[in-house]
Amino acid sequence: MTSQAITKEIIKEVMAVKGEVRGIVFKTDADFVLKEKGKESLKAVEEELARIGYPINYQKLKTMNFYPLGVRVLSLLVIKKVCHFSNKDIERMGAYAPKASFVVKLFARFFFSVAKTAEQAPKMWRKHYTIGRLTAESHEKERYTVVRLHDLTIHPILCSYLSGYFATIVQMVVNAPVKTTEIKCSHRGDEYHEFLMKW
Amino acid sequence: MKKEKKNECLVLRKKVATLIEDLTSLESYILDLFTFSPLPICFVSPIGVILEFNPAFEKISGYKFYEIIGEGIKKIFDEEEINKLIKEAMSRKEVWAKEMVLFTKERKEIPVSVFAKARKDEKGKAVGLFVGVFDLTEIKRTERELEEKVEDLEKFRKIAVGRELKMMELKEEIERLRAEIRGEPSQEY
Repeated sequence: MTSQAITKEIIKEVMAVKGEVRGIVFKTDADFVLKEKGKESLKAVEEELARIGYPINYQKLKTMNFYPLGVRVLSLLVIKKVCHFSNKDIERMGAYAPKASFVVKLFARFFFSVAKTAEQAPKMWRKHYTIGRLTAESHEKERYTVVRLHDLTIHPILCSYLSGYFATIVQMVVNAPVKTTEIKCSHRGDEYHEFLMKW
Repeated sequence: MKKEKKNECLVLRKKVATLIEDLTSLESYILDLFTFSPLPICFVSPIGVILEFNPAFEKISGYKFYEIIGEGIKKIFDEEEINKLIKEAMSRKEVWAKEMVLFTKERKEIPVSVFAKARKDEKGKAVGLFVGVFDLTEIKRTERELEEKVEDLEKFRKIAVGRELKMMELKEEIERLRAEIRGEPSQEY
């Protein structure tokens, strides 16, 4: 499925989730749209967001400021719809983000071992999101790591995005292609989201 | 008491807002500086993974930042040489003007001078390194041209000196023949 109708119910549901996210995530999303689809598409995304009642000017957002998480999810949904992105494209968008994110660079000094990065994962999450809790387990010798996201159920589009995002972070540490699978998901009734990353 | 708490909260909020503003300005400044730099610069983890790549590096290497960040730096330098450089920079903290070859995305070879400096954490431990390169293509070309010119001059010099010697020989021959015509005894040299 490449696009999904953004109904009033969906908007109400995602906006009901409390919590905020740093402006940097909007910026990296906008960068990805520009790179993949060009200026016109980003303009169309902004117009669609205004139409549904949540206008965003990506250019004017401040990278370090906090914005409602619901708006961020709406931004992802609108990008998916306007740009005719698949879930795989959203994953690619997530994979692109750490490469362009200034906030991730603050943690670059820990990117020399999976264990050290896993130790920093909760902090890294907190630098971006005010809601949810991230934990990570390192199994460097066995060439895999497990990341768990607790206390955050908002919309499955974020799962696709985070799959790509976590894969890039791990790739930055292990210097090898990484395959991510979401083996548990709170949208499927699990207690938390669990991402398994192998390289 | 409640009013006091409220005021405290307000002051804290203002402080946070100011800090966020400062952080945003700082980020923008770093980004502008990094983007402006005409010299290719990247940041590499201790295990050789590229974590930052500026536009000048994109230009010289042909890779976009999103294609190369997360990849090993061995993709653009000879593996053995770059591992040695990383080791040197991490232990000695700095490597200055080391001549190496940079491989572009199209596998074109570019001679470069490489500078590397380790970045340390608050405990003084090296946590990565900045790598800057200077394109030597023009310098190498000028060097080659100069070498060719010196070679040409050398050839010319050899020809000119040879010609001079030949002229002297001919002069002597003429003198000897003249003497013979005049019936003078020939001079042996």
